Amino acid sequence: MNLERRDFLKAAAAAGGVSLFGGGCLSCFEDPLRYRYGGELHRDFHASILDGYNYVKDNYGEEGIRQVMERFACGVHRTMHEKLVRGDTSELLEYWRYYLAREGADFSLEETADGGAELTVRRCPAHAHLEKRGIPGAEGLCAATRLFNEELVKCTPFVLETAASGDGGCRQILRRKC
Amino acid sequence: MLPSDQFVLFYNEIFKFLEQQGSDALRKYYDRIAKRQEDFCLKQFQEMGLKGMYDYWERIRIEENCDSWRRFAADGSYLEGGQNVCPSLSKVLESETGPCRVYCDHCPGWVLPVMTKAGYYYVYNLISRTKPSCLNFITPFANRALAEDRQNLWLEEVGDDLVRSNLEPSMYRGTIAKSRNFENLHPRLKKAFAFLRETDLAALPLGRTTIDGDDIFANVMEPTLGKYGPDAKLEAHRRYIDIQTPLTGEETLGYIYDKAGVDARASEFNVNDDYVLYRNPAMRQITLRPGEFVAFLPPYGAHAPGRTLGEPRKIRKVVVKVRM
Repeated sequence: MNLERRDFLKAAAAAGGVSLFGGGCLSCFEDPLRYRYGGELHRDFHASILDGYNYVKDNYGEEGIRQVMERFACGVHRTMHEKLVRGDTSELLEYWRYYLAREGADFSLEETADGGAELTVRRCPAHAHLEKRGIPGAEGLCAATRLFNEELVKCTPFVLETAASGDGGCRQILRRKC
Repeated sequence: MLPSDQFVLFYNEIFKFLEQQGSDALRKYYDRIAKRQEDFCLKQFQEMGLKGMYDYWERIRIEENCDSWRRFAADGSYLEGGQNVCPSLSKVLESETGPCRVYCDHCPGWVLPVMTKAGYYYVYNLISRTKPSCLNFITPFANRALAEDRQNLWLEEVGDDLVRSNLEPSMYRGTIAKSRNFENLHPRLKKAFAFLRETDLAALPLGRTTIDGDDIFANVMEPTLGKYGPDAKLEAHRRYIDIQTPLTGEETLGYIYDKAGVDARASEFNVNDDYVLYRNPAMRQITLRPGEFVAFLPPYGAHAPGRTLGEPRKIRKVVVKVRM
């Protein structure tokens, strides 16, 4: 359990009188997000993500990078994926809110009437950092995000469309399948 | 956007995928990472030396929220440090999917080639692949790095397939006449090289000649040299340094000077006879003439002796074994 998650649960326990060790309604206060991290950001990792994505794609093709992304989306983010399978978008929405805010993104997130959501990122922090560093190929980050999204909603009642605006922004639209 | 916070979780899945693609796949990826990392730190390391390395890892300590430390030697000859809690391994240990079996290896995988280019020796003590802490030691002095490396005791726990430094001390080639230059590599080498210089080697009998009990002895043998080729399989030792010198003709030996090039073992380590065999062929070869020697120092690398580039033939050679 990482520190921030533990702090969250402690705060929830203090506020609601729940026990962290059983006996209380912990699930009522369960952090909807599986991974939270405090402290500084190491933004050069955006370049590392891009490089890792490109490396696997260039050397092992679409199938290779899809395998990696499937494990990342459905394995590492198992809880988020399984909630989506059950029609629960709470972890995905919190994932967007938390990480985009933490990275200082200019974004808005609206839940839609069909139980989906629309995320608009006007300025992507990953794009901005690569630009600052003079590292080309930031569109690969959009492709990585698109692939992650596709794998995340596989076998769920949702589709997740990812449309990069080409200027370091994007829209990600989560819709219920008809 | 995939969050920068989650890069190591993504990285971890790439490592797992590559590990399944074959033994060389991870190595090639480490090389790629090293190449990219050069853009971030090589110039700083080359121009500012240990101070540049200190500054680089201080920035990393802050940005990656490391619980780590580092300090200079009083005489400035080295920089040592460690991760009390490595944030990278900590994160993947918390991942739903668990860490890649060789997760830690990516660190020496990129750091060591960059350090080599910068002209520094880097010695890891990774302690364990499952505990998020490690120690490291950086110096421009090979002998200082060797001494530090020998103090590391992690080998048995972590396994011997993890590259732990960019030292290339596994193979020293020289002439017996000038072998004094190599005596400081190990305390027992002085006596061993003195034996080679001062003894009529041609008059030694076949078999073992004791020089200093079980600490130093010579084996004289008459092998028939095999044709050098892909079947020149590698062997390595752990307890004894090998000093090999041909007495009656040229001998070719294949070698790999670091663990990075050593593939899967073909045998378990034979404790009594101090050897382990590897499956892959040697990557490089040297040819020795009488009067020349090559010394192989454990635990690095591996060698494939008894070969020739010409026609198979018998030679007489001596191997002096020196206990580490």
